[in-house]
Amino acid sequence: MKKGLTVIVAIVLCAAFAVALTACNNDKSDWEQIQESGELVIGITYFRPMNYYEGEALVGFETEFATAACELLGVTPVFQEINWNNKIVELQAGNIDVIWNGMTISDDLRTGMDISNAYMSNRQVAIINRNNAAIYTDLVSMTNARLGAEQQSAGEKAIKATAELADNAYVPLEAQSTVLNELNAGTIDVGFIDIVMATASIGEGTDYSNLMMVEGAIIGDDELYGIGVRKGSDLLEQINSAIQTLYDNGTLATIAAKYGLTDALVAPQA
Amino acid sequence: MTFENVTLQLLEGFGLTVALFAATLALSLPLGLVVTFGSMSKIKPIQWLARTVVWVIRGTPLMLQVMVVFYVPGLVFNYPMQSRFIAVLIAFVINYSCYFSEIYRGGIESISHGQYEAAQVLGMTKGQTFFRIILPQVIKRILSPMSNEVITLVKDTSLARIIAVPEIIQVAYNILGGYALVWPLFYSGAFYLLFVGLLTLLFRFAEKKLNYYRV
Repeated sequence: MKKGLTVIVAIVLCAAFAVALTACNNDKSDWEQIQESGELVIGITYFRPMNYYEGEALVGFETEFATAACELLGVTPVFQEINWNNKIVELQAGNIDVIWNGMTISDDLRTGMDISNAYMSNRQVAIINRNNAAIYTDLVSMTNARLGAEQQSAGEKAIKATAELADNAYVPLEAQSTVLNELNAGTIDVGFIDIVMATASIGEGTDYSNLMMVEGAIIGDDELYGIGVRKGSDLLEQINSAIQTLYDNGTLATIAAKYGLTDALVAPQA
Repeated sequence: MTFENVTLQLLEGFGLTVALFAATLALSLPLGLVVTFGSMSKIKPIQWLARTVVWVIRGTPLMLQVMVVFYVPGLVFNYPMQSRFIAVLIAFVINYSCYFSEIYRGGIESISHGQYEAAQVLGMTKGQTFFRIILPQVIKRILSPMSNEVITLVKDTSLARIIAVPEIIQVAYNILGGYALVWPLFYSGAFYLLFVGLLTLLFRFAEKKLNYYRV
């Protein structure tokens, strides 16, 4: 019985390797493979105003933008939730084809992926609990505050680069939404998140009505959002031309206005 | 988000949790026995291989194994995994088979040698001896360590979140991120608690049923 089992296991393993090796012999380009499958797998995380659920429907600036771009490219968009920390490995392993999620362009990211032309600008804004409105009014007043931002994010870099905040106690958190929850729980005093996200998700009439932005504490350089593709992929030019077309024909402006992002929209730039 | 809405969404996530739990159990219980045969094999290379596998699988975090199963096919073989659920399932089945195999081994080795001899005297083959005499006693003896492992499995399913499988904790996190509601996260604990409560009753019932040979 044991011998029989060993033989079966050996056959199964050989078969698995054979399949894997055949799959390797694939010299079609990235874009050709996507066209062949007819689907563009888009890596996202859920957050306002980019990709989020309104009842049963997935909506948001990036959702509509990506859907319009896919229509131009003649492929079907498939939105796949990912764990944001694994975005580069998801891309490289081929589990997703693009990252389309309000991603801030940085040189560090460029080592792992190619990034499209920028289409939106952003900065980092301080968020506090309304109860602390009198305490934290500008950067200088935050010298002793416990800070939080998404790990490896533009917010984290901006904190490190700001003289008033560089020596503060700082917690790297899992996501921007976690920053808001830590503020709610009072486990950090000041959080830094994308101003684009803050505008849509905190303040009066939102779920985070007890949080507020500190207008006098906007930090970091002007950041730009881009779309990530695999390194060396010919999908990049397709995406870039789609961005340009959608900007030129006013589609992007219409979508941006719908989500209150008109000021953030920029002309496509490399 | 009303209480009903949250409950419905969490239930949907918990459905996936239970599916992962049930499929893992159904596949790893028999596979664990195969690993046991391997690690108890008289053929040295097979024994060596099985024990190395058990060492590697028990010696690395399950979270890492999930990521290896999901990402390595795409990264190394250019053959991306199509299903996140299947990837998690494969990692869980391999992991739990190894843990189960050691429990089985302990159970099998606890049966006295005299029983094998007695079975031989009665003219039973090796296979008959194992499945009719040894295994039923092993099952009875390993029931409580197995219940531990099975209950741990229920909660380990939350690791599926690392590759964004929408099990109940992931769903609760998305509600937290999208609607600023913290309580669904804590509420999700109640689902686990209920389910484990059921399993505990089931194991108690099984233990009672197997409580024969009493004098």
